[in-house]
Amino acid sequence: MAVTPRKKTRAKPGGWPAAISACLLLCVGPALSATSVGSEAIDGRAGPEAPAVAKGPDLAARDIQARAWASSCATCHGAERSAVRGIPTLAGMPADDIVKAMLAYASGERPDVLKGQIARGYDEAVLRRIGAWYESLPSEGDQP
Amino acid sequence: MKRRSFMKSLAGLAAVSYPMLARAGSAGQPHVVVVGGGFGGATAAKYLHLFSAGRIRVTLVEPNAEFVSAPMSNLVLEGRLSMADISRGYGGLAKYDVRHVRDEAVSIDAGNRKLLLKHGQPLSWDRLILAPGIDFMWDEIPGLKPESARDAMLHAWKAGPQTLLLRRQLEAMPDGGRYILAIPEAPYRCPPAPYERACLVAAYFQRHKPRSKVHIFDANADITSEAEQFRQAWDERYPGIIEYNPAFKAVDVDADTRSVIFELGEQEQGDVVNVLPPMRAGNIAKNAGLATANDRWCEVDFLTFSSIVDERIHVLGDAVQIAPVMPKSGHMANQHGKTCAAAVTALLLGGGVNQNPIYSNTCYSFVNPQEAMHVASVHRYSAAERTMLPVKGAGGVSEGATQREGRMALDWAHAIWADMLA
Repeated sequence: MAVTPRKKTRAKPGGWPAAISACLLLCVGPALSATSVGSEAIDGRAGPEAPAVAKGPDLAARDIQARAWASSCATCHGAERSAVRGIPTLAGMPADDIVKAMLAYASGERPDVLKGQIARGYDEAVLRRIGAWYESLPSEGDQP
Repeated sequence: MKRRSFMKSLAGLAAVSYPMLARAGSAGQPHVVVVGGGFGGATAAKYLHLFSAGRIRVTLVEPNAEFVSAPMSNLVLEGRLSMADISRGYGGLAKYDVRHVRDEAVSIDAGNRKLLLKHGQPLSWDRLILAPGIDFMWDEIPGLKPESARDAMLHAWKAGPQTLLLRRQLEAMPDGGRYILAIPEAPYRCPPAPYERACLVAAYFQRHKPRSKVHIFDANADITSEAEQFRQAWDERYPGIIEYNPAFKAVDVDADTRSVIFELGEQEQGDVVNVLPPMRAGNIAKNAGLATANDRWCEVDFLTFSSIVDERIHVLGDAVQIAPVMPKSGHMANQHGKTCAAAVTALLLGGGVNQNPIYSNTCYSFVNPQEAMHVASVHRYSAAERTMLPVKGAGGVSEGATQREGRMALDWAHAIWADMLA
């Protein structure tokens, strides 16, 4: 049986530090975002160097990391098309439109009660690849 | 040679690697068995098919014919939605070639890579994904050990029959009655949901039983999510109806008198008593020895959701020992399901595991049948800390509940149900 070693320390009896801190952080109310998560937060641009964006017709077959990121959006926007009228379908949308919209939400130039909070979690390089992934998918009109 | 490095050495072979991985009796394809058809498990099953382009055989073990959503189930208590509104069949998964086995997983034979079922023959797997949700720590509330006591004092924290039973108890309660809601210490499934439930039960009372009251007894020192917003909602919308008592930890019940007994000896009697017992990872995971954090939650590698006990057994959703500020929510389980499905696809077919997962979470809470608010966050993998961390500057909460967010909440529900099942 393969056992994968982990650096992570086991929680001490009688307490669940990560969980409790999560709870405390959720307790802080309106300012959950930037300041209140403090040292435990990660800089949105601090991720490992992403591989270069694949070019050309092989994109859909090659950029599986972008596909993984894009699948997170599909929770609301749909894997192929949006299931809900109020939420736009991203499949087939030009990458530039997706990137511009997300950056406008993030900066507040395009105000929204929710979308800015989500958009600020993504840097432009990641958005470009998510956008390219969605652009490579058949748009709603092309689907049977 | 370790299995993982063996996989890595195969990864470069891409096209030829996968027939080599085929095992006798697996019909030429690697087989993944997913246990549990909730937000995490159903999503993992569907996305395994999508990510592998049909090159992985997927079986979902789930005893129920229909998925019933816990998010939105408090609206059934209030009366706006019906059980049918929050239920969806598993039939849609057939078009992703997911085989739905209606059976109960009882134990795991890790050495022989088998899952034992209550009724059917054991299932062989190349990788096993457990999405068992939560089960309750009945030992912490001894009075709830007998089935009869559990029937009288419901949790309704797994959407299904108890949701409707609690609704019926509220309907049968006389005007002027006391509804008691006992909340366990965090972590528990869905941090804001108890407070949403208090709002929606109060909304029902306001319309139908105006002399009735909601008494919250919370084991936590304060409201665990959107505290200011909930306090404001209670003060403005339900003055004199909702009473909040922090730092009241339920330790027992007396089913005969419908009373809850608290840590310091206080006893509270109610007409409808809704006790949320302390929670832990679902039985199948705990009994397999995977609940390594305090015998309660399952520690995993957040890149693959592999258990720290057995790399080929993946655990996701509410059963997992959470990362910082990661709620136990349906949305989060859906994100786990996709991350796990992508990793399992890479591990079985080659291609490399994504070293930088990024995903988000949104939880809506209704404060009355029409108006809702949310808490949102974006999470990104930290290689240094080997866990998911919230992204600085992202996420947040609503200033207050609005009708627009009430519509957004229902849109969210329809979208995520479709994402996992349609």
